[in-house]
Amino acid sequence: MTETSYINPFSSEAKKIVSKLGNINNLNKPDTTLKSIIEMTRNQELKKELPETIKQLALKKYEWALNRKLKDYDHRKYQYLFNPELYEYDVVSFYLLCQIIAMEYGSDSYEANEVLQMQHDLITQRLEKIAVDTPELLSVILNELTDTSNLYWYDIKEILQIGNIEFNKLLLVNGRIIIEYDDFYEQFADKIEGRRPHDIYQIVAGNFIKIRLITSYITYYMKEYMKNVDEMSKKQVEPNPLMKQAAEEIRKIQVKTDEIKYKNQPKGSFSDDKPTPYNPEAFPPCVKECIKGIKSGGRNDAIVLFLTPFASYARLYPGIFSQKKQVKITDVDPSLNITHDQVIPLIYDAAQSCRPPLFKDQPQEKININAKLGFGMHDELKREYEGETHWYTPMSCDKIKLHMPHICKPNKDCVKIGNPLTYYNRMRKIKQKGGQ
Amino acid sequence: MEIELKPATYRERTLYYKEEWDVNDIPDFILNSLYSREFGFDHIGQGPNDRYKTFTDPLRLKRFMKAKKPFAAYTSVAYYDKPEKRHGWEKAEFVFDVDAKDIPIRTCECKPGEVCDKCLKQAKEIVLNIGDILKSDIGFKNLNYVYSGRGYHLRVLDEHAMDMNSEMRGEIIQYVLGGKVPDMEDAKKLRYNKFNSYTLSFAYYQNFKNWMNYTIQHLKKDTPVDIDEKLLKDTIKYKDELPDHWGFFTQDIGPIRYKKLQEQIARTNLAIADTKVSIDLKRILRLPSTLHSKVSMKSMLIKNIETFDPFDKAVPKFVYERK
Repeated sequence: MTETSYINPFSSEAKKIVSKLGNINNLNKPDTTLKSIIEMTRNQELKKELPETIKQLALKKYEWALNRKLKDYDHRKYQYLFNPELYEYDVVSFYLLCQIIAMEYGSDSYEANEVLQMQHDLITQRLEKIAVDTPELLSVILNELTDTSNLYWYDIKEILQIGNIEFNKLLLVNGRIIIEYDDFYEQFADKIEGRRPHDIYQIVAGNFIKIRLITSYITYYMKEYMKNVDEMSKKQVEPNPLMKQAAEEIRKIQVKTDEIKYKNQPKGSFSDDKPTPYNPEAFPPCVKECIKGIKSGGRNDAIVLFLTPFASYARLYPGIFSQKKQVKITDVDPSLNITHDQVIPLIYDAAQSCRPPLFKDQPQEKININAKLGFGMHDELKREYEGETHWYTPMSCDKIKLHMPHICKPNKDCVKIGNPLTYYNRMRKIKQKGGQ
Repeated sequence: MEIELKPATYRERTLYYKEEWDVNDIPDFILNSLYSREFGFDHIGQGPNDRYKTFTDPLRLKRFMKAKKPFAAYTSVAYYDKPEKRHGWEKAEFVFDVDAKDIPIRTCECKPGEVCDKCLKQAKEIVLNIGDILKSDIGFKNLNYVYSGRGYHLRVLDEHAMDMNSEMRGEIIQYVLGGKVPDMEDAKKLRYNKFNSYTLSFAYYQNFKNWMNYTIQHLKKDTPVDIDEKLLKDTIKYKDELPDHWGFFTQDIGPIRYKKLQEQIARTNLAIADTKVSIDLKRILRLPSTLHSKVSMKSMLIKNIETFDPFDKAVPKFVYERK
């Protein structure tokens, strides 16, 4: 029988496990039971180094987070992460990893996001297996987290904002989310013709909604936990040496993964973390639409909120989304020459093409453009102002559809692309390879 | 008498604020939170550039309005700790703005930027549909319909609507307006590869179907939507098969083209209301009870939206006295 703490590290059972196994002095000691569970895991590859301590298990999870994205990723190396018998060690290593990341890197760091995503994917895969083998367990786990018969969307706004569940996938009746089959049958059975209500339930809700809710809850609690640890650690004078040491090992895992990732890349391939000349042919339709000029009404948003971030990142740091770190314009354009000579003219030309020209009646928007580039609310774009505001990243396609639907005229290449900058990068690569 | 929607003169504005406007016609939900809201005014018809105004009580607002006779008056949907600085944002009404002149699928003969009885009726129909979904599916209860002068505002004041961030508002807008094609990926995972969302008649699936049908029924060959000519022509040709025979309609359009049509209709649906207004947490909206000087109509809180007729209720007296 799979234990619920194998999925939910915030359950009361999981908390008991932490008190039993979580003594910090034991986290770096080899544990024979852990070793045995791992070695006895079905399909586990035994050649490579396997974790023998809880600390090593925590680090292996981080390694899995990065390695699973590599081309030559071998799932058999990490098969033990999907062995339900590991649940006690899994819980303790979960808390250890959260603490290392939050204390040493911060709860808003790139590393924290990696770990959140890793935990989300890890439990999703585990839950998908449970959905096949013991689907009734999904309700048990979910009921530990919430009352599934009486759940209203507005009571779980923070959970929904995690973004695992599209709002329109919720089956809503007067604000209540229909989760269980009995409720589904009661509400919708009379609206189903020619099919078994249970089949329809499985398609539109069933295990899918339960899995998404569970992962959203756990990701949310995990985020909150890391935030608390981060805040607490700022008040703490001396962090435990084990944490320092583990943080250093995490850094090494990152370096090693990057080496593998970039080792086989052909020379002359894309350097997306430095200034790259514009390739206007690769611009997505929305950018082309905006450059042509916008009619009165949506001009400000289109030029300031949409085009400014796109034009600046596309020219100065097109790989921002894959690099996942915060940068300033002067990190990549220290003299600001490219910004002054190429980025700003592109934005100003588009503003001039608006009907009426944007700056004619709204000259203050020049200041807003500077602000979106990270240079505060000033007339001039000067180094000393940098950092007063953030360098805004380009809007997602979903946001564009809401903010300025008039410029979103997708072509066939827009399908499954979530951000205009991603479109641009992909199209540049296709065009460089001599594609269409 | 036919009402002409032409701009009000300065004399007419003066007359309106002197003789007709009453501070007590401002809805209670605004008067009760006066001290938390920012006010904005347009004095010369070039947009609301007199912002950051605040009033601690209705009497001060009354004096200001009577003295200034503004071209247009606005109030924030947001509540602030310091509205005079727009600091300390506390919450904001969740608003749907349906402007008759901007409905992409209006079927009247109005020129761009103009409104008529027909498109105002359509705006009312749309805002009623939105209200129904907000109540039946989303579960909001405190809905306030306002005639804006050229369309309708639906202002949601439920506490759990007011504290939503922009992203959450965006998700609900997509749901309410049918702005996203239902995703059937889960059906595919269960090997129902040819399962079509139009076979489902509940929750978002039904809502999307309703809006898709509504939009299709209002398409004309010159409707300014982003649907290619041939597909638009065929959609109009087969539209009578809806809403009862989605299967036949899909077959006649062709499954691949139907998929494309769904995407394009979803985008059109999103343009039915001004979504920028709905996601903006600091927006200012026309103050109900005041004059929409561009069309000489009163903006007003509606008591019964079902029976409301703007040409009966929202015409200022001076319009009837025009020669």
